Amino acid sequence: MANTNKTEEQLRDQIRGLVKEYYDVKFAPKDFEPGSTPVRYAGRVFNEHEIQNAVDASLDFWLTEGRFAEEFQMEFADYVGVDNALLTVSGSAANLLAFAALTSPLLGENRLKPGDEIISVAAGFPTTVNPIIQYNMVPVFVDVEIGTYNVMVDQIKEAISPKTKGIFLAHTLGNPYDLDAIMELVKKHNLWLIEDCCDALGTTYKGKHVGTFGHVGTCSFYPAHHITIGEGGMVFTDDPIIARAVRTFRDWGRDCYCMGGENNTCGKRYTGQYGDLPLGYDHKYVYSHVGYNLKVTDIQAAIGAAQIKKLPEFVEARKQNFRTYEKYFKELEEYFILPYATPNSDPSWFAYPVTVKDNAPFSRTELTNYLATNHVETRNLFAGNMLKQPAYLHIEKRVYGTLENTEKIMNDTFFLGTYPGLDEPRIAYTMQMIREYVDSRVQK
Amino acid sequence: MINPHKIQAKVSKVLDHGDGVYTVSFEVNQKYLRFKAGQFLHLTLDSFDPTNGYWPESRVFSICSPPKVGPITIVYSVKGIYTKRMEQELSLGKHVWLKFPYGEFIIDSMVEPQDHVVLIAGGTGISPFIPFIQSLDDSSQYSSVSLFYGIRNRVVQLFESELVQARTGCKIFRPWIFNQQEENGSYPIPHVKGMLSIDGVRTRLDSGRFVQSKFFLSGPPVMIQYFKEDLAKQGIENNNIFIDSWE
Repeated sequence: MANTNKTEEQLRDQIRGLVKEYYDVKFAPKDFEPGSTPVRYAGRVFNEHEIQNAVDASLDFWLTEGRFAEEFQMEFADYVGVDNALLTVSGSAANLLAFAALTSPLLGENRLKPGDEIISVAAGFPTTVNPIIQYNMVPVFVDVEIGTYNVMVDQIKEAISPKTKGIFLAHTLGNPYDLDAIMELVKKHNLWLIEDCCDALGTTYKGKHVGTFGHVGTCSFYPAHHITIGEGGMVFTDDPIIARAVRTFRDWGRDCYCMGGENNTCGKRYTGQYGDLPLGYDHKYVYSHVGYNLKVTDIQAAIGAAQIKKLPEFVEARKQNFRTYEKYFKELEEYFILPYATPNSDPSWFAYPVTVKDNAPFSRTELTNYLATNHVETRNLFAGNMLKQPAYLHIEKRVYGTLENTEKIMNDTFFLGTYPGLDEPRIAYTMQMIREYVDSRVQK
Repeated sequence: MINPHKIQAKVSKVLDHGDGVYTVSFEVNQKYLRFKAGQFLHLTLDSFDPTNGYWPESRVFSICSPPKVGPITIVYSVKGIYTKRMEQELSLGKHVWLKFPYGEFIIDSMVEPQDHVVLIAGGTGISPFIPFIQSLDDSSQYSSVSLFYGIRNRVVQLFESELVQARTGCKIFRPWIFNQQEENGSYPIPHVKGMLSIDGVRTRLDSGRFVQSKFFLSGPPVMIQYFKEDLAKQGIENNNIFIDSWE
């Protein structure tokens, strides 16, 4: 028997209050001390609401997808403007599921099959390309532009062959590719388009959210991204068949629609005929796809339900930080190629990428080492040229052209963070360090 | 499939058609009115605690109100223990839990512009067709939309005003009602006497249109099975026959 006269709701309120108190103590803001406080390139931005939600979900102890997953998925779908949003364990898993869904027999003869060619780029993150390889298809690599760091659409046009069945590309660091031109190719050649928006949540092209132009979009909630649930991702689409395939691949490959705690949602649990199974075999254990288990916990989803409410302000902060860097870097344009937004777009910048020019009296690595020594974090543009990475040296592939810009990015590009945890003093300090380093090398 | 969600809703209207047939409307927060014409919901009369995700016993009903505008409406016919409970318990102001949307009987996702669309409904099986019919107007691209609706008698005829309105607002929409008990040409939509049958459908469509049409079947399982088999015998390809296969 419970040793309290409080109700469950009263206890929850009390715990929420304690969580707020704890948050105020544990995460109290600290003054920025230039030279000793690290300037991170990314990080979690949160307050007591995320922790309260996580604790609330823990108190439910439902654990697997539940009320918070339902809420988060719906809010996300509303935000980007699609019918279906499906949570998964990471952005990479979202990419895997989106790609796997396009191999589903539910899509008939138009589905992706082993041997098909899929166009992508080597200057990016590996898990945009990995599903192509994992599903025994052939990635076709084309080059990117320096400045937008996005695919060169003319090269896609030239690289398309009769075997080409899809395009799988990330909107690099929040900056979208030329979606008008790519959608024209998609329609003309009857291609599938997967938009990897892991770094681009909140970005719009002609006023519409990226990820909603192609057949399916993906997003990441790793702590470096626009919103976080720790480890997590989302697949989103307006296509009900793709959504069904994604759900099935995510949930063990099972045919059943039921979520945890539900039974017989379809009303045909014991009356259907599937494969060579006996008539009426329990639909809960009917597997129509060779799937995975890539579902999140409701505790993670609870954090997402709080984070997504802050997304509009996060996006604005990222844009503002980008503008602040832009103002400083204009004075250094002699040595750096500066980023620019794709025409017709409004990027929700993941980062501020720059490329060291050939005439600069320093290298990218020298500069980023100097910044690291002075507690300023930077990152390279992910894998650089993926084809130079050990795991990709011997994959089956087709390369269009020389990938010379990809090569330059591997050698000379890095990015600074734009995340909402940054502010003017941190950016000013970062730029002071860059300015000092550049000046010191120019004087030599 | 749009992400299903579970919400509490309040009964805002109950219409007793007689003969154990009811229309029930539920007030639902606008933001949850996310479904497609033709989809269905689960309704439970029992309590549900969202912090404990076990969903109680429920029944499925096609949503017969249009998406995005409230209230959300269903039709049911008292046939068993659960619907008997619904008859007793669903009164104005009653709170129930719904979860939706489900189902793939989404007509406008299965047809192309220029298609001939034939809707065949038995009794309350007309429900999933209503939001689609309400979406029709003179800008609709289909070559024709024909409804064949079978009822026991005039008392249990549903959605008369919606059908009349659709016929007035959309030149390509043509409804026929098959009444088992009477023939009456003076009703807003004339009633043809007799059971709904494949012959009744075929003789009202010219032969060219009949074989080119896409057929959507909704009603009792026996009716669906009968029409499915008969359409196949008439040479209609299986991929042009769509059924509301969710119970």
